[in-house]
Amino acid sequence: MISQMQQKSESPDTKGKILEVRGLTKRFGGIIANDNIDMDVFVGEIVGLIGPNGAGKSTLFDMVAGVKPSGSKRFPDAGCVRFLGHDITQLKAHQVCRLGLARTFQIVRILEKMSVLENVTVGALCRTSEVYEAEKKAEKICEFVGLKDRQNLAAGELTIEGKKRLELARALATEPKLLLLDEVMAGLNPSEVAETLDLLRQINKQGITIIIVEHVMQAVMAISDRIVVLDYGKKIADDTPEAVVKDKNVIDAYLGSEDA
Amino acid sequence: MIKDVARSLWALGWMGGGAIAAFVVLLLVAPWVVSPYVVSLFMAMFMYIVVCSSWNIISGFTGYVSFGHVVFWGVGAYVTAVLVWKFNYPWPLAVMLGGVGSAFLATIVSYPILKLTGIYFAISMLALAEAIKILTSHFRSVTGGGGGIYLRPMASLNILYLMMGFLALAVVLVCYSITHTKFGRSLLTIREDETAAESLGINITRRKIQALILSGLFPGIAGGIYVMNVCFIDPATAFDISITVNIILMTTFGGIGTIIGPVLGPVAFTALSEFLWASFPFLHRAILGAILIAMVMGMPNGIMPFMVRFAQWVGIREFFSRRREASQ
Repeated sequence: MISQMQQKSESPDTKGKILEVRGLTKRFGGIIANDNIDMDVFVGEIVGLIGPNGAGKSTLFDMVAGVKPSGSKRFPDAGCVRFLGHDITQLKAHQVCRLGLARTFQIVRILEKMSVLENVTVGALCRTSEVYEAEKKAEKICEFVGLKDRQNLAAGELTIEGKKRLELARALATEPKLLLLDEVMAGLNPSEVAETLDLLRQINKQGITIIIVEHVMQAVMAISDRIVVLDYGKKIADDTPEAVVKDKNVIDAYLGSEDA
Repeated sequence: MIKDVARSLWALGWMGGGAIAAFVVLLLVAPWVVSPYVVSLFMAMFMYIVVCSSWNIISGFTGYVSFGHVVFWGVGAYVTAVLVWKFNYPWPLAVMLGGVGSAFLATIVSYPILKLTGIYFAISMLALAEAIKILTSHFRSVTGGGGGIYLRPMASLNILYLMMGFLALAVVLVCYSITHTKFGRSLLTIREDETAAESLGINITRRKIQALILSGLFPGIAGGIYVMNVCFIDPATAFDISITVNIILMTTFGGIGTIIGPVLGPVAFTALSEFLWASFPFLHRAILGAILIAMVMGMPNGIMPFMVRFAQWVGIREFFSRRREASQ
């Protein structure tokens, strides 16, 4: 269903670069949230982005998506971000979204007073100027993510699981080529996590590249083709899930090094 | 967008269309039936419907509460008065240019002023109204200074009353229609969460500017019609803060962010204050104040949401939800 709207020519195994991050640095006062990060993401991949709390994962998302972190100016202090060949370092969030990069927020930002369907419609309006058309598309997406039976509820009435799902639906409605998911599985029970993983695989099969920040380790290990690990703003590992769990730097970051 | 507007107007159905037709008939018949006093009362009421509905676009839909909306009304009135007085423009053209003038003011102030949010936006709108008031008093050669401008009567009360009535109808229909378009949906999204709106591809700066311009346009036309009726304008009347207070009061009374709220508010408010004024000549302000306090406590979201809740409680909800499904 998404693929119809998507008009994607590349198959998932075409290894073209979709996102290229070079030397990205972001400081908040004396704290370096992102320290000279280089990262590539290829078309069709699912990349897991992990790291201890405060490692700079959400900041990296904000920088890539052009969102202003609170209490700071919008743009990175150094480095550049390229998306599908465009330099998006200085672009605003709405311009980045138009290019096909959508994101969800760690702390959900749903429009509480609108209905679930209206929330998704707002996302769909990114690609059409007709509300009626957008509503039709939103209905399909609600069905796809399993919100159909709740689509007329006020979004504020949803459970946390519903809200996370709604954020995903709304991001999908903007027809992204790259989806940044910030802890979409936090606070979900194991069966809900399994459902979400299933959903993410389906989305990925339709040709949408995914970067996922997650603390639920089994989930992120199960779904990712590749894992990038951040610690204190620096990239400390970038490899397959199997290799990353054995990496000494990663183990030190999570469990504390012996000499610390 | 045009398709959405057409679809929304079609969705008004027999009931909506009938209500509009009934309004037009009453509007046309009223001057033959009631006294000129009542006609001018209606005209003031329509004027408040225009300014309240316009205020509601930026403050109700978009969430930027303006404490200086009188400035658009006053600038419209002044532009019309100056054009007629100094340049002998035909008055209907001058009235329309009043709207252009206030929309122009909205355009030039929008970019810097909409960078502010919440109380800071409110205060800067208040300051804008005061600044324009001082400027109007200062440039005596253009505006007649603090003494104001006197015009000779050119248009009859009935014509101006009809213009105001149709303007009110048009503004309410515009407000209704935009909530069914991409533009209106963008404004509602901005009200709820600007960061989310931006991440969903909405150019929030552009949308807010458009909202403020639209919100400034109609009060300007209303100001022009007003000045043609009273044939006098001075800075103290044109930029009177109590008009802004009335706008906010009436819209809150009716229901902020709804379409019918800014209509019900002025109607209820005019009827109530007129009744109190006639019944209690000395105490009407005190009683009005007491009623307002009671209303704000009893129905904090205004009459409209209260009526919707009441209707749901009675069981009309079923009826409305079925109609909505049918219209989809």
